[in-house]
Amino acid sequence: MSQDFKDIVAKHHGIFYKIARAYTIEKADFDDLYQEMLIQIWKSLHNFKEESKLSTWIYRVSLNTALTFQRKEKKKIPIKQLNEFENIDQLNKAAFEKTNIKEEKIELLYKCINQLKKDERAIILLYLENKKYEEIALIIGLKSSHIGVKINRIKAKLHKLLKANDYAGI
Amino acid sequence: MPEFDLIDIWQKADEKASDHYVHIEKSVVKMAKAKSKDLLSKIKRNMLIEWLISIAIGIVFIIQLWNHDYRTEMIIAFLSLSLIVLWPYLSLLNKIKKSSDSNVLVGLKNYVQILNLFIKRLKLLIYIISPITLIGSYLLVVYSYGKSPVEVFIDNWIPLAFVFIIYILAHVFIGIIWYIPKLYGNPKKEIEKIIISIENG
Repeated sequence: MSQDFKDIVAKHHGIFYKIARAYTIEKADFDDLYQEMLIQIWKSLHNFKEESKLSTWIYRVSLNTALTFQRKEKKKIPIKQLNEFENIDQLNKAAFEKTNIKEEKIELLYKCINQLKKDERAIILLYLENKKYEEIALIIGLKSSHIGVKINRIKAKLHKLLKANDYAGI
Repeated sequence: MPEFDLIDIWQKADEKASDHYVHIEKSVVKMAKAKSKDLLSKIKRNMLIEWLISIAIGIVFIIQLWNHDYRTEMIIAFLSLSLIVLWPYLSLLNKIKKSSDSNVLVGLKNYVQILNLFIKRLKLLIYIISPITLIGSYLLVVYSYGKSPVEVFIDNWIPLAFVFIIYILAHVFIGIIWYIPKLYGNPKKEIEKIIISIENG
């Protein structure tokens, strides 16, 4: 089971990371949520039924974990402060600038997603992952038509947030 | 702002996820086997501890009062009490086990249902079972010394009133002010809001 689990995490680590980033601001909360998602996947791995796609099932369990996650009252260290540009000296200047702009865009996107409501974050995450409406509907538990309406509304809200955060200036 | 740009940026975020994964790769299994901080997992652990403690207390009482006249009644009362505690424990465990095996909306509804059941159960323990146990214990002790409960109360009203006040304050604190509302009530309300937002928002 350990090897299966390792393979699953190796293949889908992006899901855990992105969900944890979208639902937390502090580094400690990020670590806790990331770990909690791993725990829940580990605990319910035997429940996974082959009829559903593995990634769909991982999203389901991970989003449920993120939506019910309770933040802790502890020291506040923003995620960005801890893991960004640790190896600047290893990069040449041009590559660094390119990376810098790209990372700033990604950080801004996370920042704006963080300002959405919890359920909106779940839906926009799946949309950004290029999931089809049918699959999003299956994961969330709503009808596809309802999901379509919701996505349009959340996208408009996200665009407003990005504009308000001076997205064009990056 | 073109839409593909947003998705394009998002796809690039995978690189950061990979950087993070490199650092934790060796410890993922260890991380996954750690104690869960999820509310349902805490409830599961608390219920197991609570049940084991109630069984242990019951056994100690039976051993201590083995030669008592009401031994049979006490054993029946103990077994009934154990079943009262055990039945919701098993029922909740079953619900907790099934809670993650569903879509997000059903999962959240199950979560709220489990919290509701647990809160109801806590209230039952605090407001009904606990006072009955307290009064029952008092009567048992008093009768075992062959005295009248009223007589004992009048003779010892200061310590008994003190115990009674502490008991009431502890229950108010647990049930109304802090324990139930903060640990279980607030998260439940928060999840209920998410459900409403998913369904209607």
